[in-house]
Amino acid sequence: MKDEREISDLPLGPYRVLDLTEGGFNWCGKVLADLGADVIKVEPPQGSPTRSRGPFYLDDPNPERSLFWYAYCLNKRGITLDLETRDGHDIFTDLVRKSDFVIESYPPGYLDELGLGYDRLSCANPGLIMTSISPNGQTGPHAQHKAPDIVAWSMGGMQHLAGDTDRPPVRIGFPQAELNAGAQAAAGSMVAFWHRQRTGEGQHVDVSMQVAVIWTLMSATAFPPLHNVNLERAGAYRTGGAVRTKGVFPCKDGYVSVVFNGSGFISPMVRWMEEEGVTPEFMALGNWDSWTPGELSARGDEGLAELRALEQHIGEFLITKTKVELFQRALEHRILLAPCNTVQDIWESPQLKARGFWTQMHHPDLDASLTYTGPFIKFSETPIRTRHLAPRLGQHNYEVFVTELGLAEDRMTQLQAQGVI
Amino acid sequence: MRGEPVTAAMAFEGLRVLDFTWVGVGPITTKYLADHGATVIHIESVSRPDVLRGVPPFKDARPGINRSQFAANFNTSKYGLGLNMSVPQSRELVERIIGRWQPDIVAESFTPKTMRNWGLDYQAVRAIKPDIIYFSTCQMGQTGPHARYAGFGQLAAALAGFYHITGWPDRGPSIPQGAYADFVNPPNALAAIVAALEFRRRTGKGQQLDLSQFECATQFLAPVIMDYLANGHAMERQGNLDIDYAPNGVYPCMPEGTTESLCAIAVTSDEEWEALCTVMGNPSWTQGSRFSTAAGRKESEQELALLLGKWTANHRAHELMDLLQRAGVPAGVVQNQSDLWNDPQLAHRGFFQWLDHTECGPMPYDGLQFLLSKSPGALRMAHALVGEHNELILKEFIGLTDDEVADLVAQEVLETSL
Repeated sequence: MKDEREISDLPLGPYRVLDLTEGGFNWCGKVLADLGADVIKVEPPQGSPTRSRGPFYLDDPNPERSLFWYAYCLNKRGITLDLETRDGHDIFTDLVRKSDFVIESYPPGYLDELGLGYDRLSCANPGLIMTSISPNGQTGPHAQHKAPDIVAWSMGGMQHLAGDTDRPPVRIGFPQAELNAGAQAAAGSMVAFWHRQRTGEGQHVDVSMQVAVIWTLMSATAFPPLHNVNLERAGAYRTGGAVRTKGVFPCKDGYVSVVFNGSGFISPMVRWMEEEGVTPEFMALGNWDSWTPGELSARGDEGLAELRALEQHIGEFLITKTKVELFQRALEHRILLAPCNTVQDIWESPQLKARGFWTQMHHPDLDASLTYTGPFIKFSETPIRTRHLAPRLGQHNYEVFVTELGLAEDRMTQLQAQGVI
Repeated sequence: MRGEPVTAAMAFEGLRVLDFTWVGVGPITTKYLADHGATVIHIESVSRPDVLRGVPPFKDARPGINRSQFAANFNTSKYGLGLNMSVPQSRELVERIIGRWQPDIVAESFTPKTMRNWGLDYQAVRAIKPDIIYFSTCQMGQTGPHARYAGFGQLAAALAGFYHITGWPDRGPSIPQGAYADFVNPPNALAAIVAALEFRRRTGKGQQLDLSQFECATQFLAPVIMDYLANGHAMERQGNLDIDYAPNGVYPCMPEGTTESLCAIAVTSDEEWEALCTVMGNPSWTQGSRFSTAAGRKESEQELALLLGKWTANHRAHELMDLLQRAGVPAGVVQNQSDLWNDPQLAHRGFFQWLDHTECGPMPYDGLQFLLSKSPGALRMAHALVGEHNELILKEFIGLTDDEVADLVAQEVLETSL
């Protein structure tokens, strides 16, 4: 079996991952599965709580219809096993002997209590890479904290930095903290994997969701020690520089985001406005190529007044154009501007279509085809491909337990009756 | 403090990386390789500097090409080679470096035509080093009608759909901090690069990796996109409401000095709701009310938020977090950057670090993204100045003679910001 997989045409084809993660942490196993690993979701017999994450196909909150599950468990297989039973414990340990990675997101210490922590599992398989994802890390004063998205987003400093100034700060509308931790877990697992390929030694990877969120802060953390200030939320304005510049403008049919600088934005906008005869005199006469917001503060009120006038006039022009018109011009004239895409805009993107991004998958149980986002990266030799749908509950029990692990068929039937599988 | 003495094993020890990347995604991707032991030669230029070198925060709040912590934070543990790529001899030098040093990986993050114009695209490098792993990342990917689009992570985040769903339903989008797409992409890129190394180990084959920052970032909204395509629901701005449960939000606490103080609370189950009620002393509005079921809480979530906010306003945020977490209710302070420096959990992990920078002296850095028990990695060196290691690289790594290096100086191939 191993030899056959050794010649796999996918980078991680020869390797097996036991995936015990929940929610957005599933992104870790999704990356490994896309890279070719045999990723097996190990669910409790009653099903993974992630199956109750919305949105749902046709809004039906059925555990087999979670679009969240479909998206982030694509390319994985699935088994059920009650790890809290003696038999479940033993079978899991057997599986670990035949696996390369275990990834999990239980509260720190839970698997240790079951005798399935890293110390025990690494005795069964010294080359094992075990990746544990948790709100704040495996040890420390906040190790036992619970952290759904908004809590981790807040403790990691991102919540503080977004939103209008006259209302409480906001998060990104779809939960991101777990996904970021899942991505860091994939990176950490692969660093540990390379260490193992060179030395044969496995190890434990400790991923903190809080730290993963901090790594999205774009160096905001250094403002207190270096500038003696905290950055604050600023709505549609960008925070970070000495002077706040507007980063989101309304246009005819939505919004666009811009990087408000001289050569990449103001100059090409002035040229466009001149073509249409709507440039105020101060903009037509100015030399904007060398303009930067960084130098505005030295000019005091006059500099600030100029910035506000630029924002006003350019804003009045932008609102006469659609997202498509603005982005087309940005592509042709190198303007630092992009549409704030809606999901419909993303679906209609000519770029994504041209690159064959979208993937159709037929769901026999729904008697329907669903469209999935495509590969997260393109490999020239080993392209990521969609091998199978997210698993139904216990879909691969027979295949994994009987065919691959060698469990006798009647033993499996017995374990099913006992609720272990 | 100039890099910690490295005694533990390093996962990527012996790996060689020629790194042309700049700005966000590329440098953070190769930083993982560098912090975990790879020898990374970071090619930069003074005449066309990495734009991040001009962006705050700056050491002592004073600008300068060597003073940006923003650039430094993403470029630890790398050696600096300064080249003026507009001089033709620079490209010849790069070819010699590839031929002699035999890098495992070439990484670049320009718009697609830049490396081609320099004669250093995948096909050209592969002719010198057939099994090279050539990592390219740009906003839109190497192919397609928008391939030449040049932008920053802020714009990729708008394209990928994050801006449109951040903010309040009755207002325009709020900007998620920074350049969000620049931080979603690198860990995924790193995983892919190591996978390519593994494939090469087994088969001897290198390859090109093409990471479109738009395509990779939009994966983090995959269920939202599927909800639109399968059900016709297009997600809009909704403040802090969650699609599955309530309450979910940030609530006012007693101000600390003049600073606004908020605590995030999320109740994801009946068990957590009951625990919250107990902590609040079971006020009458919670008893036998419509809030006792998940569906009821979701249905009346706006009203629930107001009632909850009246209670939280009598508490200090950190005390409230401790009180609620002890009772099993998810809660966390809305921390600003100073709070992070005072966070006992981050201190326990040894997260923040100070490294001794050649021009600036001690500079603060964000620490490692994860902890590894056997090959921990380390921030081994502060950010190099442009060309800080020209001599070391060219003489020790590549084996050029003193005269050859002197010629490169005379030809204005080499640059430094020393």
